[in-house]
Amino acid sequence: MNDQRFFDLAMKVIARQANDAERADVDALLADKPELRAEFMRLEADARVAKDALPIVNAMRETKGELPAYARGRLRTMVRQTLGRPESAVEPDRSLAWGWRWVLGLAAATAVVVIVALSIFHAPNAPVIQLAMLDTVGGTRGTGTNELVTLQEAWKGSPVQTFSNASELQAWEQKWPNDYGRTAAKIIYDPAAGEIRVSGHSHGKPFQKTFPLEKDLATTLQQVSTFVREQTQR
Amino acid sequence: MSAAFATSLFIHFELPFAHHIAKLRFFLTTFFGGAFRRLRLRLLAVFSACFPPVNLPDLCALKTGEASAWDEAFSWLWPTVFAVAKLKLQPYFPNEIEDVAIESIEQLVEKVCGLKSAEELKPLAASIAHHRAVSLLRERFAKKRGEGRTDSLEAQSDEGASQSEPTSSDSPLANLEQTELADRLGKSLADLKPPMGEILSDFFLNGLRYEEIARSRGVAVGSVGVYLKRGLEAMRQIWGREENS
Repeated sequence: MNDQRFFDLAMKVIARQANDAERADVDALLADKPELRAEFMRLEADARVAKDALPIVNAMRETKGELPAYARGRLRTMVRQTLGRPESAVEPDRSLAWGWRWVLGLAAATAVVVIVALSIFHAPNAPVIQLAMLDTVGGTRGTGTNELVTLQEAWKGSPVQTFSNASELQAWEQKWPNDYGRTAAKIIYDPAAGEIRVSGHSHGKPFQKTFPLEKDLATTLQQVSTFVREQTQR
Repeated sequence: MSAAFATSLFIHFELPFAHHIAKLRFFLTTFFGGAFRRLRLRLLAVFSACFPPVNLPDLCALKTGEASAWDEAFSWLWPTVFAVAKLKLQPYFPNEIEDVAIESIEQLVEKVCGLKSAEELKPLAASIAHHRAVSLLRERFAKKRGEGRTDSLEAQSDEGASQSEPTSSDSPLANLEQTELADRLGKSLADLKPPMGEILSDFFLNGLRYEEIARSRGVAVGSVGVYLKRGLEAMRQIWGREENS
Protein backbone atom coordinates (compact mmCIF):
# COMPACT_ATOMS: atom_id res chain seq x y z
CA MET A 1 0.00 0.00 0.00
CA ASN A 2 1.42 3.35 -0.98
CA ASP A 3 1.57 6.45 1.23
CA GLN A 4 -1.37 8.16 -0.42
CA ARG A 5 -3.60 5.12 0.02
CA PHE A 6 -2.71 4.89 3.72
CA PHE A 7 -3.26 8.63 4.06
CA ASP A 8 -6.71 8.43 2.47
CA LEU A 9 -7.73 5.54 4.71
CA ALA A 10 -6.35 7.27 7.80
CA MET A 11 -8.26 10.43 6.90
CA LYS A 12 -11.50 8.55 6.57
CA VAL A 13 -10.96 6.88 9.94
CA ILE A 14 -10.04 10.13 11.64
CA ALA A 15 -13.07 11.90 10.11
CA ARG A 16 -15.27 8.95 11.04
CA GLN A 17 -16.17 8.41 7.42
CA ALA A 18 -14.59 4.97 7.07
CA ASN A 19 -16.72 1.88 6.71
CA ASP A 20 -15.98 -1.33 8.60
CA ALA A 21 -13.76 -2.73 5.87
CA GLU A 22 -11.66 0.44 5.65
CA ARG A 23 -11.31 0.61 9.42
CA ALA A 24 -10.22 -2.99 9.49
CA ASP A 25 -7.63 -2.26 6.80
CA VAL A 26 -6.17 0.57 8.84
CA ASP A 27 -6.10 -1.49 12.01
CA ALA A 28 -4.32 -4.28 10.18
CA LEU A 29 -1.76 -1.89 8.76
CA LEU A 30 -1.06 -0.29 12.13
CA ALA A 31 -0.63 -3.68 13.68
CA ASP A 32 1.59 -4.88 10.89
CA LYS A 33 3.78 -1.77 10.60
CA PRO A 34 4.36 -0.02 13.95
CA GLU A 35 6.04 2.96 12.19
CA LEU A 36 2.66 3.76 10.63
CA ARG A 37 1.14 4.15 14.10
CA ALA A 38 3.29 7.24 14.69
CA GLU A 39 2.29 8.57 11.32
CA PHE A 40 -1.37 7.94 12.12
CA MET A 41 -1.06 9.77 15.44
CA ARG A 42 0.62 12.66 13.68
CA LEU A 43 -2.23 12.84 11.19
CA GLU A 44 -4.69 12.88 14.08
CA ALA A 45 -2.82 15.80 15.57
CA ASP A 46 -2.77 17.56 12.20
CA ALA A 47 -6.50 17.08 11.93
CA ARG A 48 -7.00 18.68 15.35
CA VAL A 49 -4.95 21.66 14.26
CA ALA A 50 -6.95 21.93 11.07
CA LYS A 51 -10.25 21.77 12.96
CA ASP A 52 -9.13 24.51 15.33
CA ALA A 53 -7.32 26.81 12.93
CA LEU A 54 -9.33 26.52 9.73
CA PRO A 55 -12.46 28.21 11.12
CA ILE A 56 -10.40 31.27 12.03
CA VAL A 57 -8.59 31.23 8.68
CA ASN A 58 -11.96 31.05 6.95
CA ALA A 59 -13.26 33.88 9.14
CA MET A 60 -10.45 36.04 7.78
CA ARG A 61 -11.87 35.45 4.29
CA GLU A 62 -15.33 36.49 5.42
CA THR A 63 -16.62 39.59 3.65
CA LYS A 64 -20.28 39.61 4.64
CA GLY A 65 -21.60 41.56 7.55
CA GLU A 66 -22.05 45.24 8.16
CA LEU A 67 -20.59 47.18 11.03
CA PRO A 68 -23.42 48.50 13.25
CA ALA A 69 -23.74 52.28 13.21
CA TYR A 70 -23.32 52.61 16.97
CA ALA A 71 -20.11 50.61 16.77
CA ARG A 72 -18.69 52.92 14.10
CA GLY A 73 -19.15 55.93 16.36
CA ARG A 74 -17.54 54.16 19.28
CA LEU A 75 -14.59 53.05 17.16
CA ARG A 76 -14.09 56.54 15.70
CA THR A 77 -13.87 57.89 19.22
CA MET A 78 -11.32 55.23 20.04
CA VAL A 79 -9.22 56.20 17.02
CA ARG A 80 -9.36 59.88 17.95
CA GLN A 81 -8.36 59.16 21.53
CA THR A 82 -5.59 56.74 20.61
CA LEU A 83 -4.10 58.04 17.37
CA GLY A 84 -5.58 61.46 16.79
CA ARG A 85 -3.64 64.50 17.90
CA PRO A 86 -5.38 65.99 20.92
CA GLU A 87 -7.71 68.75 19.82
CA SER A 88 -6.56 71.02 22.58
CA ALA A 89 -2.90 70.53 21.69
CA VAL A 90 -2.62 71.12 17.99
CA GLU A 91 -5.78 72.30 16.29
CA PRO A 92 -6.56 75.06 18.74
CA ASP A 93 -2.99 76.30 18.44
CA ARG A 94 -3.50 76.83 14.75
CA SER A 95 -6.99 78.25 15.15
CA LEU A 96 -5.80 80.45 17.99
CA ALA A 97 -2.98 81.77 15.85
CA TRP A 98 -5.38 82.48 13.04
CA GLY A 99 -7.80 84.06 15.51
CA TRP A 100 -5.11 86.36 16.81
CA ARG A 101 -4.08 87.24 13.29
CA TRP A 102 -7.65 88.22 12.54
CA VAL A 103 -7.83 90.28 15.70
CA LEU A 104 -4.53 91.97 14.96
CA GLY A 105 -5.54 92.63 11.37
CA LEU A 106 -8.85 94.09 12.42
CA ALA A 107 -7.16 96.23 15.06
CA ALA A 108 -4.65 97.56 12.54
CA ALA A 109 -7.37 98.31 10.00
CA THR A 110 -9.47 100.03 12.67
CA ALA A 111 -6.49 102.11 13.76
CA VAL A 112 -5.85 103.22 10.19
CA VAL A 113 -9.50 104.13 9.70
CA VAL A 114 -9.59 106.07 12.98
CA ILE A 115 -6.40 107.97 12.16
CA VAL A 116 -7.65 108.87 8.72
CA ALA A 117 -11.04 109.88 10.07
CA LEU A 118 -9.46 112.02 12.78
CA SER A 119 -7.22 113.72 10.29
CA ILE A 120 -10.22 114.42 8.11
CA PHE A 121 -12.93 115.32 10.61
CA HIS A 122 -11.11 116.54 13.65
CA ALA A 123 -9.54 119.99 13.71
CA PRO A 124 -6.14 120.15 15.37
CA ASN A 125 -5.96 121.82 18.75
CA ALA A 126 -3.26 124.32 17.85
CA PRO A 127 -4.93 127.56 16.70
CA VAL A 128 -3.97 129.23 13.46
CA ILE A 129 -2.52 132.64 14.21
CA GLN A 130 -2.24 135.06 11.33
CA LEU A 131 -0.40 138.34 11.78
CA ALA A 132 -0.71 141.47 9.74
CA MET A 133 0.54 145.00 9.95
CA LEU A 134 -0.96 148.01 8.21
CA ASP A 135 1.75 150.33 7.10
CA THR A 136 -0.01 153.05 5.06
CA VAL A 137 2.75 155.61 5.30
CA GLY A 138 5.67 153.30 4.71
CA GLY A 139 6.78 153.74 8.31
CA THR A 140 9.77 155.34 9.73
CA ARG A 141 12.91 153.38 8.91
CA GLY A 142 14.13 151.63 11.98
CA THR A 143 10.99 152.06 14.09
CA GLY A 144 8.81 150.00 11.75
CA THR A 145 11.40 147.30 11.51
CA ASN A 146 11.62 147.03 15.28
CA GLU A 147 7.84 146.80 15.58
CA LEU A 148 7.74 144.11 12.95
CA VAL A 149 10.38 142.10 14.81
CA THR A 150 8.51 142.53 18.09
CA LEU A 151 5.31 141.36 16.47
CA GLN A 152 7.10 138.43 14.95
CA GLU A 153 8.72 137.54 18.25
CA ALA A 154 5.34 137.32 19.96
CA TRP A 155 4.11 134.48 17.68
CA LYS A 156 7.12 132.75 16.28
CA GLY A 157 6.31 130.64 13.27
CA SER A 158 3.54 132.87 12.04
CA PRO A 159 4.71 135.20 9.31
CA VAL A 160 3.65 138.82 9.44
CA GLN A 161 1.80 140.11 6.41
CA THR A 162 2.38 143.81 5.75
CA PHE A 163 -0.30 145.80 3.94
CA SER A 164 0.05 149.28 2.61
CA ASN A 165 -3.63 149.99 2.12
CA ALA A 166 -6.72 149.30 4.18
CA SER A 167 -8.75 147.62 1.46
CA GLU A 168 -6.14 144.93 0.97
CA LEU A 169 -6.04 144.40 4.68
CA GLN A 170 -9.80 144.24 4.83
CA ALA A 171 -9.83 141.60 2.13
CA TRP A 172 -7.20 139.62 4.00
CA GLU A 173 -9.16 140.03 7.22
CA GLN A 174 -12.26 138.50 5.64
CA LYS A 175 -10.40 135.52 4.29
CA TRP A 176 -10.18 132.60 6.69
CA PRO A 177 -8.53 129.24 6.28
CA ASN A 178 -10.65 126.64 4.46
CA ASP A 179 -10.93 124.59 7.61
CA TYR A 180 -13.47 126.78 9.33
CA GLY A 181 -13.83 124.42 12.25
CA ARG A 182 -10.28 124.97 13.21
CA THR A 183 -9.57 127.67 15.80
CA ALA A 184 -8.00 130.71 14.19
CA ALA A 185 -7.18 134.25 15.08
CA LYS A 186 -6.10 137.27 13.06
CA ILE A 187 -3.99 139.85 14.82
CA ILE A 188 -3.69 143.16 13.02
CA TYR A 189 -1.37 145.81 14.17
CA ASP A 190 -2.32 149.31 12.98
CA PRO A 191 0.40 151.72 14.07
CA ALA A 192 -1.43 154.68 12.58
CA ALA A 193 -4.51 153.99 14.70
CA GLY A 194 -2.34 152.96 17.65
CA GLU A 195 -4.21 149.76 18.19
CA ILE A 196 -4.12 145.99 17.74
CA ARG A 197 -7.29 144.39 16.50
CA VAL A 198 -7.97 140.78 17.21
CA SER A 199 -10.65 138.75 15.53
CA GLY A 200 -11.14 135.06 15.28
CA HIS A 201 -13.26 132.04 16.07
CA SER A 202 -12.92 129.14 18.37
CA HIS A 203 -15.15 126.04 18.30
CA GLY A 204 -17.41 127.87 15.91
CA LYS A 205 -17.81 130.93 18.14
CA PRO A 206 -16.39 134.27 16.97
CA PHE A 207 -14.42 136.60 19.14
CA GLN A 208 -13.12 140.09 18.55
CA LYS A 209 -11.34 142.76 20.57
CA THR A 210 -9.33 145.90 19.97
CA PHE A 211 -6.32 146.66 22.15
CA PRO A 212 -5.13 150.29 22.18
CA LEU A 213 -1.43 150.78 22.52
CA GLU A 214 -1.33 152.19 26.03
CA LYS A 215 2.25 151.74 27.13
CA ASP A 216 4.30 150.06 24.41
CA LEU A 217 3.82 147.46 21.74
CA ALA A 218 5.39 144.59 23.68
CA THR A 219 3.10 145.12 26.68
CA THR A 220 0.04 145.30 24.47
CA LEU A 221 1.11 142.21 22.57
CA GLN A 222 1.29 140.33 25.89
CA GLN A 223 -2.29 141.36 26.59
CA VAL A 224 -3.28 140.26 23.11
CA SER A 225 -1.50 136.96 23.55
CA THR A 226 -3.27 136.32 26.82
CA PHE A 227 -6.62 137.16 25.25
CA VAL A 228 -6.05 134.92 22.26
CA ARG A 229 -4.94 132.08 24.51
CA GLU A 230 -8.04 132.47 26.64
CA GLN A 231 -10.30 132.53 23.63
CA THR A 232 -8.73 129.59 21.86
CA GLN A 233 -8.43 127.33 24.91
CA ARG A 234 -12.06 127.53 25.92
CA MET B 1 -4.69 45.54 -11.58
CA SER B 2 -2.37 48.50 -11.51
CA ALA B 3 0.02 46.77 -13.90
CA ALA B 4 -2.81 46.04 -16.30
CA PHE B 5 -3.94 49.61 -16.08
CA ALA B 6 -0.41 50.83 -16.75
CA THR B 7 -0.12 48.53 -19.74
CA SER B 8 -3.41 49.68 -21.15
CA LEU B 9 -2.34 53.29 -20.72
CA PHE B 10 0.96 52.58 -22.39
CA ILE B 11 -0.69 50.89 -25.34
CA HIS B 12 -3.37 53.52 -25.62
CA PHE B 13 -0.91 56.35 -25.83
CA GLU B 14 1.84 54.59 -27.69
CA LEU B 15 -0.07 53.21 -30.64
CA PRO B 16 -1.11 56.47 -32.33
CA PHE B 17 2.41 57.89 -32.08
CA ALA B 18 4.41 54.68 -32.14
CA HIS B 19 6.93 55.91 -34.69
CA HIS B 20 7.74 59.10 -32.81
CA ILE B 21 7.79 57.41 -29.44
CA ALA B 22 10.17 54.75 -30.74
CA LYS B 23 12.52 57.47 -31.98
CA LEU B 24 12.27 59.32 -28.69
CA ARG B 25 12.93 56.18 -26.72
CA PHE B 26 15.93 55.33 -28.89
CA PHE B 27 17.32 58.82 -28.40
CA LEU B 28 16.76 58.79 -24.63
CA THR B 29 18.17 55.30 -24.22
CA THR B 30 21.22 56.06 -26.34
CA PHE B 31 22.20 59.34 -24.74
CA PHE B 32 20.68 59.05 -21.28
CA GLY B 33 20.56 55.26 -20.89
CA GLY B 34 21.02 54.89 -17.13
CA ALA B 35 19.16 58.03 -16.22
CA PHE B 36 16.27 57.16 -18.54
CA ARG B 37 15.95 53.69 -17.05
CA ARG B 38 16.02 55.12 -13.53
CA LEU B 39 13.39 57.67 -14.50
CA ARG B 40 11.14 54.93 -15.87
CA LEU B 41 11.59 52.89 -12.69
CA ARG B 42 10.77 55.92 -10.56
CA LEU B 43 7.69 56.66 -12.61
CA LEU B 44 6.59 53.06 -12.17
CA ALA B 45 7.22 53.29 -8.43
CA VAL B 46 5.20 56.49 -8.22
CA PHE B 47 2.42 54.86 -10.21
CA SER B 48 2.43 51.83 -7.93
CA ALA B 49 2.30 54.08 -4.88
CA CYS B 50 -0.64 55.95 -6.35
CA PHE B 51 -2.52 52.77 -7.14
CA PRO B 52 -1.95 50.38 -4.22
CA PRO B 53 -3.38 46.85 -4.32
CA VAL B 54 -7.12 46.87 -3.83
CA ASN B 55 -8.88 45.87 -0.62
CA LEU B 56 -5.98 46.62 1.69
CA PRO B 57 -6.24 49.63 3.97
CA ASP B 58 -3.55 52.29 3.86
CA LEU B 59 -1.47 51.42 6.92
CA CYS B 60 0.30 54.80 6.99
CA ALA B 61 -3.04 56.60 7.04
CA LEU B 62 -4.26 54.29 9.79
CA LYS B 63 -1.18 54.98 11.88
CA THR B 64 -1.77 58.70 11.64
CA GLY B 65 -5.38 58.24 12.70
CA GLU B 66 -6.91 59.35 9.42
CA ALA B 67 -10.64 59.04 9.96
CA SER B 68 -11.60 58.05 6.41
CA ALA B 69 -8.95 55.30 6.28
CA TRP B 70 -10.22 53.91 9.56
CA ASP B 71 -13.81 54.04 8.38
CA GLU B 72 -12.87 51.81 5.47
CA ALA B 73 -10.79 49.57 7.72
CA PHE B 74 -13.68 49.14 10.17
CA SER B 75 -15.93 47.83 7.41
CA TRP B 76 -13.13 45.65 6.07
CA LEU B 77 -12.26 44.13 9.46
CA TRP B 78 -15.74 43.76 10.85
CA PRO B 79 -16.76 40.52 9.07
CA THR B 80 -13.58 38.85 10.31
CA VAL B 81 -13.73 39.86 13.96
CA PHE B 82 -17.44 39.18 14.10
CA ALA B 83 -16.99 35.73 12.54
CA VAL B 84 -14.13 34.82 14.87
CA ALA B 85 -16.03 35.95 17.96
CA LYS B 86 -19.07 34.06 16.74
CA LEU B 87 -17.08 30.84 16.42
CA LYS B 88 -16.51 30.68 20.15
CA LEU B 89 -19.43 32.62 21.60
CA GLN B 90 -22.42 31.67 19.45
CA PRO B 91 -23.23 28.48 21.42
CA TYR B 92 -22.92 30.09 24.85
CA PHE B 93 -23.12 33.88 24.77
CA PRO B 94 -24.45 35.02 21.40
CA ASN B 95 -25.34 38.41 22.84
CA GLU B 96 -21.71 39.12 23.53
CA ILE B 97 -20.49 38.57 19.98
CA GLU B 98 -20.86 42.19 18.83
CA ASP B 99 -19.25 43.58 21.94
CA VAL B 100 -16.27 41.28 21.63
CA ALA B 101 -15.92 42.15 17.94
CA ILE B 102 -15.98 45.88 18.67
CA GLU B 103 -13.52 45.52 21.53
CA SER B 104 -11.23 43.55 19.24
CA ILE B 105 -11.08 46.38 16.72
CA GLU B 106 -10.53 48.84 19.56
CA GLN B 107 -7.57 46.78 20.70
CA LEU B 108 -6.31 46.66 17.14
CA VAL B 109 -6.39 50.46 17.01
CA GLU B 110 -4.04 50.50 19.97
CA LYS B 111 -1.68 48.08 18.29
CA VAL B 112 -1.68 49.40 14.75
CA CYS B 113 1.46 51.48 15.19
CA GLY B 114 3.46 48.29 15.76
CA LEU B 115 2.50 46.74 12.42
CA LYS B 116 4.81 46.70 9.43
CA SER B 117 2.37 45.90 6.66
CA ALA B 118 -1.34 46.08 5.98
CA GLU B 119 -1.39 42.31 5.46
CA GLU B 120 -0.89 41.91 9.21
CA LEU B 121 -4.13 43.71 10.05
CA LYS B 122 -6.64 40.92 9.56
CA PRO B 123 -4.63 38.15 11.19
CA LEU B 124 -3.99 40.35 14.21
CA ALA B 125 -7.66 41.34 14.39
CA ALA B 126 -8.66 37.67 14.18
CA SER B 127 -6.13 36.73 16.85
CA ILE B 128 -7.36 39.47 19.17
CA ALA B 129 -10.98 38.46 18.64
CA HIS B 130 -10.14 34.81 19.32
CA HIS B 131 -8.30 35.62 22.53
CA ARG B 132 -11.01 37.96 23.76
CA ALA B 133 -13.70 35.40 23.07
CA VAL B 134 -11.76 32.66 24.87
CA SER B 135 -11.07 34.98 27.81
CA LEU B 136 -14.75 35.82 28.07
CA LEU B 137 -15.70 32.15 28.06
CA ARG B 138 -13.14 31.33 30.71
CA GLU B 139 -14.23 34.21 32.87
CA ARG B 140 -17.93 33.44 32.61
CA PHE B 141 -17.56 29.73 33.18
CA ALA B 142 -15.18 30.27 36.07
CA LYS B 143 -17.74 32.60 37.61
CA LYS B 144 -20.50 30.04 37.19
CA ARG B 145 -18.36 27.34 38.72
CA GLY B 146 -17.63 29.70 41.58
CA GLU B 147 -21.33 30.20 42.13
CA GLY B 148 -21.80 26.44 42.36
CA ARG B 149 -23.96 26.18 39.26
CA THR B 150 -23.90 22.81 37.63
CA ASP B 151 -25.57 23.47 34.28
CA SER B 152 -23.98 21.52 31.51
CA LEU B 153 -22.48 23.44 28.65
CA GLU B 154 -24.76 21.63 26.26
CA ALA B 155 -27.78 22.84 28.20
CA GLN B 156 -26.61 26.44 27.92
CA SER B 157 -25.86 26.16 24.28
CA ASP B 158 -28.37 27.89 22.01
CA GLU B 159 -27.75 25.58 19.15
CA GLY B 160 -26.15 22.69 20.96
CA ALA B 161 -23.24 22.96 18.62
CA SER B 162 -20.30 22.27 20.83
CA GLN B 163 -19.83 18.98 22.54
CA SER B 164 -16.43 19.86 23.91
CA GLU B 165 -15.11 22.17 26.59
CA PRO B 166 -15.38 25.62 25.00
CA THR B 167 -11.94 26.69 26.14
CA SER B 168 -10.16 23.40 25.81
CA SER B 169 -6.51 23.77 26.72
CA ASP B 170 -5.42 20.94 24.41
CA SER B 171 -6.15 23.11 21.38
CA PRO B 172 -3.00 23.99 19.45
CA LEU B 173 -4.20 27.58 19.48
CA ALA B 174 -4.79 27.76 23.21
CA ASN B 175 -1.31 28.67 24.38
CA LEU B 176 -0.23 30.89 21.53
CA GLU B 177 0.42 34.50 22.29
CA GLN B 178 -1.62 37.06 20.40
CA THR B 179 1.11 38.04 17.96
CA GLU B 180 2.25 34.46 17.42
CA LEU B 181 -1.27 33.34 16.67
CA ALA B 182 -1.67 36.30 14.31
CA ASP B 183 1.56 35.37 12.57
CA ARG B 184 0.46 31.78 12.02
CA LEU B 185 -3.01 32.79 10.90
CA GLY B 186 -1.45 35.16 8.37
CA LYS B 187 0.77 32.41 7.03
CA SER B 188 -2.13 30.00 6.84
CA LEU B 189 -4.18 32.54 4.93
CA ALA B 190 -1.35 33.02 2.47
CA ASP B 191 -0.35 29.36 2.07
CA LEU B 192 -3.72 27.66 1.85
CA LYS B 193 -4.50 28.89 -1.62
CA PRO B 194 -7.66 27.77 -3.42
CA PRO B 195 -8.81 25.12 -3.62
CA MET B 196 -6.61 23.67 -0.87
CA GLY B 197 -8.14 25.70 1.98
CA GLU B 198 -11.65 25.02 0.77
CA ILE B 199 -11.04 21.30 0.44
CA LEU B 200 -9.56 21.10 3.95
CA SER B 201 -12.59 22.96 5.29
CA ASP B 202 -15.00 20.77 3.36
CA PHE B 203 -13.42 17.67 4.81
CA PHE B 204 -12.58 18.65 8.40
CA LEU B 205 -15.23 21.25 9.14
CA ASN B 206 -18.15 20.34 6.91
CA GLY B 207 -17.66 16.58 7.07
CA LEU B 208 -17.96 16.07 3.31
CA ARG B 209 -16.70 12.88 1.72
CA TYR B 210 -14.09 12.73 -1.00
CA GLU B 211 -16.71 12.25 -3.69
CA GLU B 212 -18.81 15.21 -2.50
CA ILE B 213 -15.78 17.44 -2.36
CA ALA B 214 -14.68 16.40 -5.85
CA ARG B 215 -18.11 17.18 -7.17
CA SER B 216 -18.52 20.54 -5.47
CA ARG B 217 -14.99 21.74 -6.20
CA GLY B 218 -14.75 20.32 -9.70
CA VAL B 219 -11.68 18.19 -9.12
CA ALA B 220 -10.98 14.49 -9.59
CA VAL B 221 -11.79 12.23 -6.65
CA GLY B 222 -8.19 11.07 -6.65
CA SER B 223 -7.00 14.67 -6.30
CA VAL B 224 -8.98 15.36 -3.14
CA GLY B 225 -6.68 13.19 -1.03
CA VAL B 226 -3.64 14.82 -2.62
CA TYR B 227 -4.94 18.31 -1.78
CA LEU B 228 -5.73 17.17 1.75
CA LYS B 229 -2.26 15.71 2.23
CA ARG B 230 -0.54 18.84 0.92
CA GLY B 231 -2.82 21.06 2.95
CA LEU B 232 -2.13 19.19 6.17
CA GLU B 233 1.61 19.29 5.48
CA ALA B 234 1.38 23.04 4.96
CA MET B 235 -0.49 23.43 8.23
CA ARG B 236 2.03 21.22 10.00
CA GLN B 237 4.78 23.52 8.74
CA ILE B 238 2.96 26.54 10.06
CA TRP B 239 1.54 25.21 13.32
CA GLY B 240 3.96 22.34 13.91
CA ARG B 241 6.34 23.94 16.40
CA GLU B 242 3.64 24.31 19.02
CA GLU B 243 2.41 20.82 18.24
CA ASN B 244 5.87 19.34 18.79
CA SER B 245 6.29 21.15 22.06
